[in-house]
Amino acid sequence: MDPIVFSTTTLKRRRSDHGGANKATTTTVLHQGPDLISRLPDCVLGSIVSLLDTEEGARTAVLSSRWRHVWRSSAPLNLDDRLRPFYADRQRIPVISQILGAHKLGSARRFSLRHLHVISSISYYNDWLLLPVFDGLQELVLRFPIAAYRPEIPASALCFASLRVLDIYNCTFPASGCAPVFPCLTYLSLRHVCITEELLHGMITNSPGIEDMVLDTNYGHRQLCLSQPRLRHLAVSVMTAEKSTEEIELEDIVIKDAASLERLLLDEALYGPSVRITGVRNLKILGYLGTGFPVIELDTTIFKVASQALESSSSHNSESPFRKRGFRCSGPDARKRREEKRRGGEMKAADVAFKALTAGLGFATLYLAGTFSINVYRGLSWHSEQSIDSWILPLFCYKWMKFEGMSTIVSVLQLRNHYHVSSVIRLGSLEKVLTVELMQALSTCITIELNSYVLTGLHKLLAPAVLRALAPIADVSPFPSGDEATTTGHGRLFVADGLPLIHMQISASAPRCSAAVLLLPCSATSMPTRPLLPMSGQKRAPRTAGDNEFSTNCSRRRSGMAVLSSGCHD
Amino acid sequence: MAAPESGDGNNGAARMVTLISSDNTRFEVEAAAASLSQTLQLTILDGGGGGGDGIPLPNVDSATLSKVLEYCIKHAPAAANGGAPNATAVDRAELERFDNEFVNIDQSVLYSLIMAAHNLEIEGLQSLVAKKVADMIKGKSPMEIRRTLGFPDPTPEEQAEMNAHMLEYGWAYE
Repeated sequence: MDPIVFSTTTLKRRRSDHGGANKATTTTVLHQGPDLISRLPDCVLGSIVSLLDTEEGARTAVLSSRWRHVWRSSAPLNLDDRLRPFYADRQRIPVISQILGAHKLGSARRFSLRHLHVISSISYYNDWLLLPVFDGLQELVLRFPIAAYRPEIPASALCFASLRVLDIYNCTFPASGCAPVFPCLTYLSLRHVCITEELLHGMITNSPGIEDMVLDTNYGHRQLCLSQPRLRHLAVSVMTAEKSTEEIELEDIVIKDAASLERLLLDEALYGPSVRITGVRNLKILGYLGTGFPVIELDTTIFKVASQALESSSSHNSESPFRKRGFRCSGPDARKRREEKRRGGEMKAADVAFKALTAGLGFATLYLAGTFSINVYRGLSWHSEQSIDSWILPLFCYKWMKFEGMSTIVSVLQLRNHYHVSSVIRLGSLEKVLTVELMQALSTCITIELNSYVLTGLHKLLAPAVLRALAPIADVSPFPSGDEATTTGHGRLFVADGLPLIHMQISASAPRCSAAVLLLPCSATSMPTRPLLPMSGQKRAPRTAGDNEFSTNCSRRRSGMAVLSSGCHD
Repeated sequence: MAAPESGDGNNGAARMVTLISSDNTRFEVEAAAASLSQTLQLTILDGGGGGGDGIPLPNVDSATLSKVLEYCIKHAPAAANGGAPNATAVDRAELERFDNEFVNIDQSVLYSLIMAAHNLEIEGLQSLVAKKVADMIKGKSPMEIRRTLGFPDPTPEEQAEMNAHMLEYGWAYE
């Protein structure tokens, strides 16, 4: 058989680039010496430069004469308009034009427009997107400036059949017309866009390869019925404050044949769409289950909001679970818990100071100190007699579900990225929660999922706190420094076989579903057999009283967060 | 020579192919693993590389080839699934960890690996090694990059070109 001779063209080019290179260097492996990387063919150097940020890519031109033209000629353009954070639009736009001019003849891999703030700037979008350099574009991030109205997306933005990543924010899709087709698309993020049911449905159906999908606060459609066997991650949220009376929002989402679905994140909302998903086989992460979602069906498992369930079956329930388990405890366990509460009080000065990279600016340094409520520790004691909510509830889980056909979910902690400080405190407290004994008792799979915004600034702080507690059984790998929005992965740890699985992940695909912690039993046998919410045995309190208490707790929690939030953003 | 099987390679015992490195070392691997290389895939689909023959790879030495095959063997099952439901998060994480270890290597080995991945057209390996080099460059000044990658010091002409570039693309240096 004839030997295969590889890519003689690149070898020739390389020889001509390095006039003196002899045969030994073309066989590549025998060569020893400095500066091997520069000997790589142009296309390989180009693919390396394309992975760098826009400025870093441009700077490679000064490395040596070999690298001079790589960025301009060989590297598929990676143009992110982030550039300098202090740039105004009138400084940013000429730079973008200059870069595009320098790459007239090249190709582009990624184009990200998300830092232009003046509404008139969007007149450039269409002109830019029509340039031939973008013909084979793979990643498009298009965020429109906030204005009184949602500007219409230029038609040119929806014509890239080669797209793998599409991220669109704050605009209106055309009211009619053919749905775009993205055969290669794996990541779709639509946030604050107005899109008709037909167009949205058509666009997703025309993109069968979607693995990650984020649908956040979109308007113009009520129902979404999809069949996505390759979908792995799905995040859905609607307006969290209150239902808009003027605009149509998602009310019903149905996904059939979700065989690959691993992560389903539903952001906390006061109301939300009902969610029905069938064919779920690989679901590992489910959160955050706010009470706003009237019903969540995963095949035969149905989650309904506790208060509604109580209302419908008041004769079977003795007392509001919020009263009974969460905030008022009685009996021998309560004494123990109060004991813990007192001990927890000594430790409550959990002052946390940290630097956070703010998402947009990248380097604003924020210092904040928070004091940690003793409530955190109130329910930590785990007894086999207790149901799980008795320890998880005081841990900020101010809402929870009544489970019908209960099978997998134990509980969910909500950690919002908007409140960096409280997130830290909460995560800091996890080391108290995630004891080895507890995990073994539950035989759980524990997932801690953090939004990249949080992680960007905080991973150094929170990782050790959480990981230290897990060190005896976990194989800990360090977090990489996150690059918001371009990073989708990493920082994971797993424990050895036979022990619980711990899985930490930075996620850019979960915008406001910032961080969810949930405990999923690995095997059905280790699952407590009693129902999670006690059904009888306690005197029933008047409904109104229970409700009031719930709302009081809610508002207290919210106001506390608001304070932290304002401190954080100032 | 065996008739070419359909691409899935799951028919009974896994089909083996032999690859011969530039220094005449023979490597026997499953066809599914070797097929991660676009270059080899065609030959293998044509029924090449089986039996006593072998596919000579004159541009890849044995040390590099064994490294490349280590990658292919590890990634072959996931690639066969094409990211289908079986490729669970655990598998993915395991592969990620393997990849991180895999490219934790000396620069000369990395260079050979890049060339081999390029020549053999192994898509996953190409992006893995490119990412590794990009990570070596990220967050560094041009001076630091030069030192990291072992570039010679710039000549006066290069220095002049450099200054001109910095003038033209001032925004990249602020």
